[in-house]
Amino acid sequence: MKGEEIMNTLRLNPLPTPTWNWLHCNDTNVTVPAGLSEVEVQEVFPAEAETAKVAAADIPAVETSAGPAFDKYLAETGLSAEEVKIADKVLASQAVNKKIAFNANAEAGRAVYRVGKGASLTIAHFFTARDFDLAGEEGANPKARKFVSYDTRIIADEEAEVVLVDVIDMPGDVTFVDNIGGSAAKSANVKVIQVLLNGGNVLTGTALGLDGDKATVQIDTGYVVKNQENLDINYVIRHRGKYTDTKIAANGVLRDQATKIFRDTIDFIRGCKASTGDEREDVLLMNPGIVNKSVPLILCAEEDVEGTHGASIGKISDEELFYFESRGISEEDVQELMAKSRIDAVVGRIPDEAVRTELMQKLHPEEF
Amino acid sequence: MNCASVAPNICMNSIGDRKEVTMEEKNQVNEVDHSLYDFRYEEKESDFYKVQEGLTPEIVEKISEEKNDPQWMHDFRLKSLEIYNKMQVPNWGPSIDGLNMNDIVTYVRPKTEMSAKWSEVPDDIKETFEKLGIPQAERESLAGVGAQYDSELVYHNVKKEVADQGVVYTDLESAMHGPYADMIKEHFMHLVTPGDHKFAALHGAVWSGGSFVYVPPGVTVEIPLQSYFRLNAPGAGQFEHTLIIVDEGANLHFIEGCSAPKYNVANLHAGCVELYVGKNAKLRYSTIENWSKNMYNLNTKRATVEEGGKMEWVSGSFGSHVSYLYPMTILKGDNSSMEFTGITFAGEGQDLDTGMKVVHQGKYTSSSVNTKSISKSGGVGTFRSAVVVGTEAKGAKAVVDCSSLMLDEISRSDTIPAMDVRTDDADIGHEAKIGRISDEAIFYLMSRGISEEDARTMIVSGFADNVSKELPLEYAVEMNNLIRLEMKGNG
Amino acid sequence: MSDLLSVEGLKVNVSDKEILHGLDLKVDPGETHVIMGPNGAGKSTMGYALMGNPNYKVTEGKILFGDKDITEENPSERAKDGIFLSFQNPIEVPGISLSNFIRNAVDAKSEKRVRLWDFRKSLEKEMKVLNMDPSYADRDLNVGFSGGEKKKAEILQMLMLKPRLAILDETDSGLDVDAVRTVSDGVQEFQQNTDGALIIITHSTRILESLHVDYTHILVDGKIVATGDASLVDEINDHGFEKYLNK
Repeated sequence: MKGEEIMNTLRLNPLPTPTWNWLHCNDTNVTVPAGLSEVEVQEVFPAEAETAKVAAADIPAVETSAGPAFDKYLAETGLSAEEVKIADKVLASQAVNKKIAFNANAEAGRAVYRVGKGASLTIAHFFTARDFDLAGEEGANPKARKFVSYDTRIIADEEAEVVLVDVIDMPGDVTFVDNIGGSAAKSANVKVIQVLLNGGNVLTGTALGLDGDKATVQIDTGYVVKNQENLDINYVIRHRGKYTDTKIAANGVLRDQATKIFRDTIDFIRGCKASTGDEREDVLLMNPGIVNKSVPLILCAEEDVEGTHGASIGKISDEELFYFESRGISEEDVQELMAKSRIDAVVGRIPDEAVRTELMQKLHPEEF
Repeated sequence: MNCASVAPNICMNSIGDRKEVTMEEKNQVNEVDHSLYDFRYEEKESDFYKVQEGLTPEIVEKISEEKNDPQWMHDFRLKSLEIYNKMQVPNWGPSIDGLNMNDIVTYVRPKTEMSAKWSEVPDDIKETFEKLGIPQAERESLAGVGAQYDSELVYHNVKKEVADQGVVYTDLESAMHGPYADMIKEHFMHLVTPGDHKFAALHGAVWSGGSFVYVPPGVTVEIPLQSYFRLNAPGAGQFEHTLIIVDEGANLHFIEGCSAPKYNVANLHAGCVELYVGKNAKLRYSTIENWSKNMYNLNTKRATVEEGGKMEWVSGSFGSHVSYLYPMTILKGDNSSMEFTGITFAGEGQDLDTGMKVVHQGKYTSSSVNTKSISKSGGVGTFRSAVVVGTEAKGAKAVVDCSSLMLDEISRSDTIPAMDVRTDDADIGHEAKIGRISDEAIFYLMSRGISEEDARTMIVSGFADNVSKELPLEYAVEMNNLIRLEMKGNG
Repeated sequence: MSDLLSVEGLKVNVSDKEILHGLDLKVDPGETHVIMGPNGAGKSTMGYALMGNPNYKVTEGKILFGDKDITEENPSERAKDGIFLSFQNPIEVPGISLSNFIRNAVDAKSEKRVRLWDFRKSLEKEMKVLNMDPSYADRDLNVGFSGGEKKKAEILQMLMLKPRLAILDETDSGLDVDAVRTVSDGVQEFQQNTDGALIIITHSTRILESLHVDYTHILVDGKIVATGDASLVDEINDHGFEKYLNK
């Protein structure tokens, strides 16, 4: 346990199909601690939620963003999950609201959300961490970055509506693996909104199986990566049912010497007739020291589909700059403004008013 | 229209009547034709099996000796072999299990030793020749059945004409001993190094045949130079090395390959193409590749472009069983640029992994990529790309547009692009789409009296027009014929 | 007596080509000037040069705004001084909402930050004047807006920023009849409720039909060749620019 930390290096956030190794974008190496302890969560549940503790072995096996190696690792730690169930046809009266503030190294949590047929639920996860030390732990490698993690699995039954709002505001010396996966049954809709405000080394994403016909997913992400921060995103959507649809939009800003890799894969599996998928990335580069990697994949084994993806990477054009300046906004202020705006835009798209307001208040206290 | 008639048309316009081949020239061609690898029959019987396994330094030594390599090339081959033995095959891309890597020595024999008889050439190859209307003499050559062939003659004539401009167009092996020996030494496998990947290392050890082209400063070569002229040279095709140097302000169009299938019993093609585009120079490299459907086409093509230079790739991939093909461009000089237009058609039994790579190093560089991919009858088509913008590449602009068409529900089409940008002063755009032929388009054409099959073919040809409009007319026509053939299937 | 705007002998180059060959213009506070001329005369160039677009280089002459020489001033400074340019082809800027953009522009000009609630109310009111669907406020700036909506968004910004001098560059081009009327209403609102001056650059006159015009200038080949009052507009409507082309 903690006496002798045998650190282990895993390949996380893998691409479903690897490409040239010299690009170093097939996956990311992360050193993980031998064991994990459960993090304390401040949580509020809607009255309709049925909660239970689920043993590691009973946690649903779904594909997740961090990949199979991490999945196996989580299982081996024996950590149990907190399950929230919403019964069929129940529309939850308020969101599940969890404040997950990591307190020590090697803390982690697991959550399973089962939303019944025709039911609906919004889940809000706010991730932060207190300033904890590594030094106090025996045998710990002082150079190893602090490691914490959270595992979220969403099982959306037929016609269920699930919204996951994922807000990450983590300190600059912590590696945080935000592992998200799930499955959507017939006509279910899953919406994932990720707001990435701060984080030293953040690995996140979403893997979702559109397993039933007419299942759909929308992923909307806004991020600002600055200083020496590193952001690693992996989206993998498997289209199995017919008439399934994916929309992924990621908008962000890279500043200072930040690094970021964005992998998104739309996989049209044979049989998913009449399915559609669109993935879009827009990255604003602000300073010369940045490193931006983008790997938008479309895998297709089905003829009757339409898939599109687009990426736009660059700095503010002279035209845009002149437009801002002609409205009195100086060049230095434009950077700040664009960064804030991208986050605000994503927050504005959170359907649940209470969650949206809470986040707006956190971001712009001067307005309230 | 076929390959043979292409060359005379182009050459006739500039040369006039074809000259008679002298007996001397004929013999010259034949003399080179001796079995390089006969040495194995000299071995004692007990050694026979040892030699059969794997590629040994002794075999490479013999190759070097028979080719009369200068010392540096001899050493280079051996060094490459060392690297080859240490490297792994790639952990990504189509399976190359069908290639027996241990038995690689069998692939190293020249073509003339292989399919020596027309009767041994597979039927489907013969059928394709028939459908494409290729004359008998040409068929034999394409099928590697030795024999004197007119294109040799054409090659010699073209060579003479451009020589007046100071252009060197010759075979690489002999050029290593001539006045350009030093130039070749300076450039040979400096762009594609043996350490790049296992097949580059293999190539470095056993390469054989290929062209060397040098265009002096300010010279514009009016006629496109074509590699197929030299199809019949020993070792041509399989481990061929093409080295082209376009000096400052010069201009060249080089065409590689042809639409007719090239057949070879030994099924590995590990060729290499190195292109040096000088300051303010321009090079267009066009390829229509249609290797026979048993081939493993593991080709490496790379270009480096100096200040103000321009590199244009036009690429049509139709053949081979498995392909790994990613022409790479290094935009080294400021204001250098690259344009890539390509089409890949993966049909039954094919797994074609193609694409491109570009590295922006200089300032104000630009690249533009337009590719199309078609998958049919269970074929697997993969578009794989890399756009890399270095920290010093201020003002870089890159745009990639790739479209994939799925023609049925048993095929596969994957798009695997990657972008790595390390400066903020860059403008990178990428668009990709995948889908099938729209029903409206088919309906529209059919409502004008066109059969469904023809409608599909027309739409696919239209889809491929990004490439066909960049090719000389004869090649565009041939390419469209190829598409028509592919669409009709083997029936 | 200081004019609001005084342009003296202005020569402007674009990509090493001289487009304005010595422009003179004086605008007093609250006046509405119309600049007309054939295509290629340099009308938009004048607008960009007054706003300070770095691609439009002043080689000779001066631009005075109030008591200040702004010839060398950058665009954001000029905006803070009170100059506004409504673009002919406003670009789309994804990643920032129309509302947020305007709010920041408004803040740039004042010392105190307007409270969100007050700002939104004010924005809603002006959007109503322009017949703009309120949902446009939260849409990304100009992204996917029709030509008409883009122009309205420009006029909306003008109404919210209340500049001392608003330059409208071909504001009615590409608009249908209803949109022209709406935009014209917006400009009227500006004329009546503020003491801002206007320079309306146009080569057609639909937008001017219900507006008050103090002066009309004809710009041909980079120079102003004629100045008159509102009646000059009618003259152009009836006879075109031919009379002025050979001057």
